[in-house]
Amino acid sequence: MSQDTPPKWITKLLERFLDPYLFNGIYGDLLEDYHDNLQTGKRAQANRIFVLSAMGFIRYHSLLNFQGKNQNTTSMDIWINYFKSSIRNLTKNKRNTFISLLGLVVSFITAVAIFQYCYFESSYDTFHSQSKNLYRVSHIFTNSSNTSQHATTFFAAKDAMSNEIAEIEKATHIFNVTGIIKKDQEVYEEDNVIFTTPQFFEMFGFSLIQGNYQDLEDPDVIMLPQSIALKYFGDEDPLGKILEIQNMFGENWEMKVAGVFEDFPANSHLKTSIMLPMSRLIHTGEAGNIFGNAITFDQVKWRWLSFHTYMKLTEGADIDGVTESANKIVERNRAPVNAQLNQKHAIWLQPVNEIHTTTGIEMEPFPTIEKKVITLFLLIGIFILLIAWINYVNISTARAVTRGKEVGIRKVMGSYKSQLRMQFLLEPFILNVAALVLAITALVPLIPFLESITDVPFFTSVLDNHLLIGLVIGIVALGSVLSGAYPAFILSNYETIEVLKGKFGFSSKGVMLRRVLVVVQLIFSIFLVASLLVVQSQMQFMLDHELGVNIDRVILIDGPVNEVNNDNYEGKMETLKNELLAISGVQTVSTSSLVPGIENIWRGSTESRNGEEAGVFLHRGFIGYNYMDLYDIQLLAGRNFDRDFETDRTALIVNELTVKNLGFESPQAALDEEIHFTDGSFKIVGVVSNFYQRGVQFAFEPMTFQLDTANTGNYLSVKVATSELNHVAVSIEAAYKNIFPDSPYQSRYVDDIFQAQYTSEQRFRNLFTSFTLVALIIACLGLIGLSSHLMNQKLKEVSIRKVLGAANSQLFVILNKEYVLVGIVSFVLTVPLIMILMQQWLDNYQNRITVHLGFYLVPFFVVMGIILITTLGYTLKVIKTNPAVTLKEE
Amino acid sequence: MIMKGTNLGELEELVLLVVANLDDDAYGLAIRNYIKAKCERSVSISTVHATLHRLELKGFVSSRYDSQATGERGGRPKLLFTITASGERAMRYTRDLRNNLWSTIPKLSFNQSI
Repeated sequence: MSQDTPPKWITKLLERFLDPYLFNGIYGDLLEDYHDNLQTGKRAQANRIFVLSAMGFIRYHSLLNFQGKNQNTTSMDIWINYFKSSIRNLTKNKRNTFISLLGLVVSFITAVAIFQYCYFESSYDTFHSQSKNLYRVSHIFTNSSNTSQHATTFFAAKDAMSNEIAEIEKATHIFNVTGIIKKDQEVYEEDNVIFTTPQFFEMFGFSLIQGNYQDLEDPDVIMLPQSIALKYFGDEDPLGKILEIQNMFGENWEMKVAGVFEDFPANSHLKTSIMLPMSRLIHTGEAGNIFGNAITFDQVKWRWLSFHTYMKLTEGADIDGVTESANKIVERNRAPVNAQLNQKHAIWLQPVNEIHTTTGIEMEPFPTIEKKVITLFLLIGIFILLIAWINYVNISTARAVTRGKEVGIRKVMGSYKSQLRMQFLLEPFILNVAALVLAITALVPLIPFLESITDVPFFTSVLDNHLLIGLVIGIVALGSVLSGAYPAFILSNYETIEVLKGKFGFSSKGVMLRRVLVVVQLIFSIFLVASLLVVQSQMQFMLDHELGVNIDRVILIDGPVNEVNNDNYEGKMETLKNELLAISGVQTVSTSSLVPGIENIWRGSTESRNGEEAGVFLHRGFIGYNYMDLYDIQLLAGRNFDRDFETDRTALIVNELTVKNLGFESPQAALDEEIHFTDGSFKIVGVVSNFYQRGVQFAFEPMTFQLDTANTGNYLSVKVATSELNHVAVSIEAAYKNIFPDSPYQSRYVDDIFQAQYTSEQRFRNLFTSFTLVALIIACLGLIGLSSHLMNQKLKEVSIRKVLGAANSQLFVILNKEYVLVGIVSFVLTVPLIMILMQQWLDNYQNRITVHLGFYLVPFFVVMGIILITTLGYTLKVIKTNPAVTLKEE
Repeated sequence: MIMKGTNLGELEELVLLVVANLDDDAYGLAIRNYIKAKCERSVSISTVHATLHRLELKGFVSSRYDSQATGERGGRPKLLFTITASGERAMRYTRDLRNNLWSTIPKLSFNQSI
């Protein structure tokens, strides 16, 4: 029958607080009512009614047992008294209370924001019902010059593995493209158009609202997320409607909407705007529209490496065993090609819920975050809370002496030590609760701001996040105990007689602890300032770094994907180029298949040749005649592509790294050498210096460039000579629209693209800066409160010294000596911390600053400066006091 | 005459009437349910108990625990209320007072307001 009992804690509360005579009658009534409600409704509802009914009794003092029924004072009276004296004491010292409260409120808001950020970032892909059995087949690619990890694997891997390995329950794979959508004469560009199989819906926790996922077998259907369905069809029922999709293969598809699914949650590493059937991609491949007719689709299956492949393993499957079998399958199928290209392919199973917190994997469609960063922010959040609590401890221990008489009298009246401790714990509890209420009130209007700086969606209502509520209660409980324990301990230990005789004064109790706590605060502060300095310098270093390529004032136009296969495409492109050049302000125009700042996805390996090393992994790209000029890439040897050379169709320009990887001694030595790829042989005609194809956090990449003859390049870079970029951009758009009226116009500035690669770094920097400032402000607040108090206590000492002839400068030294000493101790303790942690952080970067002495000294002086400025006001006040005033009362 | 301070409030009067109606079985929840059913008025258990307590302090009802306990009350006996003599007097007084006042309303005052 335990099923039918209401919450136990309520029973205890009622028994504790209700009038003992009435208790049985009332409790019986409540139970009876509870059983009645169980008959008619759900248990949860009955529970709720029970709790509410029981809570109703709070309103009626006459029914509670402290209302004069018992002649003795009950503990309730004592608690009420404690509450009153806590409130009185808090309101008596308005400034201290304000400082503690402000510190707590700010730290709570910041901590909640930080914790929400960390929680969200680590919650990725945990919503799939069986997320722990879901794995992505990630790929390790090794050749003679490097090893890299990829998020994608071979097309054929999915089928081969799920056929042969029993532990694989389900498998699917995804191919991600950009598509052009046509509807009602309008053209739209959609990213994250994915091809996939129906199993996608069986494996992941995404649910279809309309339609049947099996229909995704049909090559002529698409499925849309709700938001996209709304975008294209508004209020109409999207099912059965037709969308026209043009794709990178130049085909024009009319697809029928067969399903609508819920938008993927924000914490999903998979994102999609349109879902296409994988069977359609296979048809396109078989028709020769992807790789041409020279090679059959079957031949491509174990070469095409662009599929994000997922598998769901059976419960308790042996991961190592599955990995081993999967590797054998890859090895067997790739053996002939691997030998020819001197490559190695291995796969590993990456748990899906760890994808977002793993970095360093190529072909990862969306930015990921390092676990270390999450931990770092978590630590800062805890620092900030600790700093605020330490403020309270410091101020209240410093003020402990003033409450001596109260303690003495309470003891004489018969208070137990334990009761006094409870009393002094109540005060921080009230303060923490008040701070929490204020923080939550302030948090609500701050949510949009917090969302914009963290780039993480916040709970819309505070109550829908159970974890957060637990956290908040935890913070208050922990805060009260941590910040109240020591003051409570000191205060309750005062000797009654001595206190009442007036023999208490500058108690040395707590001084040591206070120093230790101040040191802890300073360590946090110095460390945060130092880290801030390192982070800022590293960012600036990356932004200012010489790229080897000039990306200023270059406008990048995405070529018309939907026109590529048209016969007159080349001619139209030529016309566009000429028209663009005619615009005043346009300096150079060049097409290309790659541009700085965007990860180049076309890579190839050289084929083996007699006596030479084979399988050198190289990046490949098409560029127009003017590309090198346009981007100011320095030519080291040989020549640029030239219209005068007919043979340039099979010519190659490479960079220094390629020269080195191919094993040539010097750029000159590489000239006129031939390189063989699967699709032909190319002669090196020029060597350019290394440049950053991607952000400087990545290493140089070995590049090879072919001449973009058939306008295979889908990017059009336009170098503008004047600084009036916007003006020119308008003319460029007009020219484009004139020639390609059916294609969406998309343009960007190349330096923006480049900057965008530092987005996650920038966000890290912004968050870090804000949090550090908050921590410093809170620490300062505490110092203001503490120093004002300590200075006042030293008033008499200073007066006597003045009477005896001390100079102001000497007094200044005496008053601030302690702070400087504490500061130096903290600094010494912080140095190793900075050394280890910052080195570790910087090691993530390919191009990094070195940590020099300045990174230690500047934070020290900044923090010391802040301390001295904070205390300066009080120091001056104390020094200026007239000794006659202070001393006359003795 | 009724002394000042022993007047019946509206809810008090209602509860007294219900206690009288329920006779032997007048306890908190039953009273609450009766009011809910007959008056279509929702009062909480705590309010009923508070009112009963107030009535007991005024001496209008007396309480005693039922000698037998039932299972669905978790073995807790019912706290039963009965109306005292002064309680009955107070009820009658209130009713008479009201009837008197009703009977002396001049006809005109209703006609005017309608």
